[in-house]
Amino acid sequence: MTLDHHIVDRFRSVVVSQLHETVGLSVNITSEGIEEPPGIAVVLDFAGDISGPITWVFPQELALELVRRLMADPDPSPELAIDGATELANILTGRASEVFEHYGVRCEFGTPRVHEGALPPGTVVQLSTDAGSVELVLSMLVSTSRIATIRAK
Amino acid sequence: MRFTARSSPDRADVRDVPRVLLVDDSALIRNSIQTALEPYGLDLAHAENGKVAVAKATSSRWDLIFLDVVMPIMDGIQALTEIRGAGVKTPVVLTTSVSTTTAVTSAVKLGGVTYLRKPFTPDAIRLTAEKLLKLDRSVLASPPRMLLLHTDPHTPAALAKVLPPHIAIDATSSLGDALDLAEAHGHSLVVFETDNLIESGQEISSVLREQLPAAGIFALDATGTREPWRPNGALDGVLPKPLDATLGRGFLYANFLRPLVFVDKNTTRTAGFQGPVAHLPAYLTSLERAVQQQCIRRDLSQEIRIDLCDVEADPAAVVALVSRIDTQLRDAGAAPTFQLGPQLAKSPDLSHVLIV
Repeated sequence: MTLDHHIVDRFRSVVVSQLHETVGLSVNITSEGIEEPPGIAVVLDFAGDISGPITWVFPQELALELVRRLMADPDPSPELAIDGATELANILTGRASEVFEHYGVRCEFGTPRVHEGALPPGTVVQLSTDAGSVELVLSMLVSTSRIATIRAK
Repeated sequence: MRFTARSSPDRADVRDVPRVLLVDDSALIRNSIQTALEPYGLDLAHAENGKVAVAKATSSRWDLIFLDVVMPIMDGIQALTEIRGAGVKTPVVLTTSVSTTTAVTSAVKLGGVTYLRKPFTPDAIRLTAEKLLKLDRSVLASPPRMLLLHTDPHTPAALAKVLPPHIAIDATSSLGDALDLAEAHGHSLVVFETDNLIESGQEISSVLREQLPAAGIFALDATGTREPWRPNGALDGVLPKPLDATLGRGFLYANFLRPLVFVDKNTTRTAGFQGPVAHLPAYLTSLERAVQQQCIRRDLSQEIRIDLCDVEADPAAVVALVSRIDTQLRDAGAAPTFQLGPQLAKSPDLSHVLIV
């Protein structure tokens, strides 16, 4: 069964606030399609009551913004964008996944890896930032036994 | 712990330096913690997963471990369980983006564990380390300094780009000003540019050497030669231009700007050589110079361990150097032991030297 829209909404709102907190840029949820250079896609796999992949697509400039903050380097090498993207995916997924615990859902996620090729099917969330658009694809499934618990909350 | 002293007069040459292990599968995170902590002169080492972390944590002394939770091969919780199971009580800072999981909660119950939530700022890292290691924040106000005598106005920025950000570069285009700066700060490293290296390189380096007898002194070669070079008189070597991170951080910083004399209980250790083997002769020259300085001061601890494990290039030069250093230190009343690579350790020319 696909993720309940309540979870998606909560997940998305935490992503928006956490993305702002992490890189200090204003973030808005948007559905407009914007032509941009290809971003860096990063996937993490959930396991437990919620299982399956979550995929992030970050613009290079946003990934480099995290590098700037972590390294206190105003002009990081573009080569570090992939490292920045994987760590950003790691941080955002970790923080947002705490929503699942709020719902009593047990889940863990693995290490991030760069994804190449077409994005997997799933609930798509698009966000716009000053550094470009972020795309989030939630392809996780939730175990049916947890549905009632989630809805009760 | 390490020993070598290309010392400046205003820097303490013998220090108790905390050792910190940085464990994270992300090189970006490890490097960000390293960059934040480097100004304290800590002895920092990396591990890219829990398995490597357990091996390092249980085979050597550490004063603090920064430990990521989600890692491949072995995660941080399993690593911490094994580290504590081996009786290692080193304080651990868990670094993770997830704070509420049962695993993290149970890890904290293992004891000696604090928690730092990602993303963290360099200052958050520093505050955590200052608290746990009782570090003195005032060191941030007196960073290691190097002297740059340049002809190209872009060189100071280019050099800063390949060194850790806390290094202070005293840059000038005047030799007179350079000598004044050298007298004021006693730099441990000098890099100079000249339009005519062959004619004026030795002259400039000789003048600087008089002012800074223990410093590493290097010329920048604008022609970009990549030929190996050897120390020549007062000049320790010629660096190709533009400088890259391997030469900047990996060689100049690692061998000339880090705190270089580390004492662990009764043992003093050398920093060992880091960088391209073509630069080994400069390191060996500086090491010998450092030992001479130490012998003059007689501030060596009784047990001295000199680490040259990674040095296999130019074995004849290393063998000769080890013999000279051994003699100098024994004459000074110390008892040196050497850690050497397998090839050098078997050298019959070193049969009189203690090798561990």
